[in-house]
Amino acid sequence: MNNRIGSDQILKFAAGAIILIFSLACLYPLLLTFMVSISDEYLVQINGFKLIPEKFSLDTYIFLYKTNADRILNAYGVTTLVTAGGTVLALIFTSMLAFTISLKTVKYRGAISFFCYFTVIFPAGMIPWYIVCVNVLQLKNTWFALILPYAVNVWNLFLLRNYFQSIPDSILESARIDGANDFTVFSRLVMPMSRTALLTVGLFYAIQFWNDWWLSIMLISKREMYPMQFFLFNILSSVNALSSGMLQDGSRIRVPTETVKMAVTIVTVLPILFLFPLIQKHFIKGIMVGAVKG
Amino acid sequence: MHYRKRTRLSLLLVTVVLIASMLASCGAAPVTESASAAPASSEAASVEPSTAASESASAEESPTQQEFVTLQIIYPGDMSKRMESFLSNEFATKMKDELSLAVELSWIPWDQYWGKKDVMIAAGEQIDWYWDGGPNFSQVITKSASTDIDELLQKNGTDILRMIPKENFDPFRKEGKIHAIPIQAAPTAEKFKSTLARTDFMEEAGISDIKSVADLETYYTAVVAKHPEMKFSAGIPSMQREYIPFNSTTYGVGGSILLNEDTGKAEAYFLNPAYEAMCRKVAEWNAKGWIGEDLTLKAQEDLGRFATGLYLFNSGAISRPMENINDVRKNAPEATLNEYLLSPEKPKYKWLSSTEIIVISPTAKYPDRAMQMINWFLASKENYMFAIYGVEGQDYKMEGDRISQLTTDSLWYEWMFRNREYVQFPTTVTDDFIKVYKAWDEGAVLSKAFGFTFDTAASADQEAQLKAVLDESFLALTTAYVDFDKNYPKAVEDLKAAGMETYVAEFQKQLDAYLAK
Repeated sequence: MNNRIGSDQILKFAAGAIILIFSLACLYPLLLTFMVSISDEYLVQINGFKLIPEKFSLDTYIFLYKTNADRILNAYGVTTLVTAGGTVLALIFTSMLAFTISLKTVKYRGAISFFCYFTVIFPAGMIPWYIVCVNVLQLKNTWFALILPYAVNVWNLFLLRNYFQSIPDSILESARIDGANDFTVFSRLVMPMSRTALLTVGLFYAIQFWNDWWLSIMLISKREMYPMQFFLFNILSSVNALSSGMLQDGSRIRVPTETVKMAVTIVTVLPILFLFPLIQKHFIKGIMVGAVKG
Repeated sequence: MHYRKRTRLSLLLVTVVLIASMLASCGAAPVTESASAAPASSEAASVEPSTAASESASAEESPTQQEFVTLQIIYPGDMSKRMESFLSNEFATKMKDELSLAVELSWIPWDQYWGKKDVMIAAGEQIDWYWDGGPNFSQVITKSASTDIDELLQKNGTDILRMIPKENFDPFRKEGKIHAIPIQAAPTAEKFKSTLARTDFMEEAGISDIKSVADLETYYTAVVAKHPEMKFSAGIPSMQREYIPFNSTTYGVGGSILLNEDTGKAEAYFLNPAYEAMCRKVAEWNAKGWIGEDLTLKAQEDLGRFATGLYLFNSGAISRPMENINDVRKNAPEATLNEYLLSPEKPKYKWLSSTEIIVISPTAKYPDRAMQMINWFLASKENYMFAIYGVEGQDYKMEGDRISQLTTDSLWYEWMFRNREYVQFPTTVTDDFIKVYKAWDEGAVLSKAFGFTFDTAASADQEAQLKAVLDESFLALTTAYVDFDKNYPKAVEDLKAAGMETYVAEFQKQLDAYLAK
């Protein structure tokens, strides 16, 4: 008996130690990134990255905020708006389409599903995509440009469809017997019953909208509509250009080329980092959504 | 039954609408250089090049009497705060009053500039003019991303023709017609083959000139004995002039084609024994600890390293002492810089007339007005100074014949529009540098391939494969990051498999045809 308790404790200790080491390995890059971002640029250039800063300095953050404080605030505003609005719209679009193709009574649901799936395997390509967005849908420099192209993600669509299909037909049927039409069934019954799946897909969308700089590069040229990621991407791109001599105009400014990359990473991931623990519970549950029978 | 049918129909309709919107999301992948390989035929352009329409603004009209139009321009980088206010206030007023036009600048981050430019042109979006690098001209031609501007230059570009030497246009022709404006008219002989050096330490070490690789080594040894913190070079100095036993210039992707200027014969640069000798020299420096792995792992960040003030040398580009001095002085206040050519007794070749070009896009809505605007930059020193440095007293002040800038924000890029007649040296450069800079092109010889454009349309795939091999294998060899003896044979094998020999043969064939004309 004592032996068993002893071996259990050893196992627990070993498991704990392995998890601790693994966690530290995961934490290390983030910590190093943060530490470099608050290090003196000159010493980083000379001695490389150090976990404990040789000289503490907030110059990089000052560089980021001093010259661009109002722009950064504006960009945060744009990102927040696009993330919130985009996530809600994307959830509405995706769930409605997912519900439609989950219904066995819809005649062409297989064809519609295939059509969606087809675009994943054979994307139209950059130029047709651009022409559709700019010339056909007239999205350039509109708020929809930052939302609509990501409004339906096919992977999320099938995730939701699978979840909706797992809801027993008898429940939907009983609602119809009570006189509910398809939209009522969808909005009053299916949506509330799919909270976990919606939260998971919502989180996927939120991260996608939060992290996106691509749509703004392609479709936005008005500075006041730059989201945070594009704004920071721009700074990083200019820093790289300055450092490599591509942009030969660096004679008048000194840009902290190494530390700024780290500071940009911290500024970018921080909000999501704080958000993540709050929705972690639903996220873990949601990962199981994909495992639900199709 | 009827109700169910209607419901199904409405469901189907909603589905179709959603799928249509979803179509917009397909194909969204980051633009890379390879994306630029997409066919950018002007035929795909839905915006017609409205030369005819804009020609209605006749040459007889003075610019201010013309119809007020808005030009769309794409520009690389990020707009500074001062540029934002300058564009919407002082510059906007100037353009409206003098040229009756407004300017809308779309700024594209450097990393994405070429990819997005190609997509925009292929999609037929209005771009009236754009910048590109001179060495990229063959790409511009291959992608049909330019228009013939001979007539426009004659009509609206008289100051451009006055301020830029006639022969500078030669490398930017297609079938005899000019397709780009070589906007930067500055010294270009042996561009990227010079060495940038700290001259303050040279004075201290009693060294007056650098003429050979041995001079670089002697100089470094003398300096490091007194200043052990100093490092050798922030980038690999170009040694081609000394190591290649004949007069040469380089062309093609990654400088992979070596042209013998004496015989006119092209060969693969990386297969020439001189390349091996240079690699072994770099390996020797590496073994001594003079250079480190940063030169490979952060190959593109040489100027950032040089700016620490801890390096004696870097690769040069003729004007770097002027462009980088303030950056270096932040960390080394006493620093002075100059550039040197190894083997100065050898001829200096001009292989390109301008490293910067401005192109009137095939999707330009107002090509004649675009030309007027570009012409305006060079029409007078007053215009040039205003566009590049802003308002005197507010953005800059003059100290004698030198300029001192009062803002760190850049306006229109100086390096893009630099013209030897108008160039304004800052207060921080030495008289020695100015002397060297002004005389740089004196006695320069035109390369045999000057004016020749290598049409890579037929070898675009090959070029992409060669670039991949050069990036993956040869950068590490050039910087001595990997052992030469162990890795060179495999790298050569890969290079040949990627079609190096055919690529050189194609270059030779086209060059011979060009020279025969």
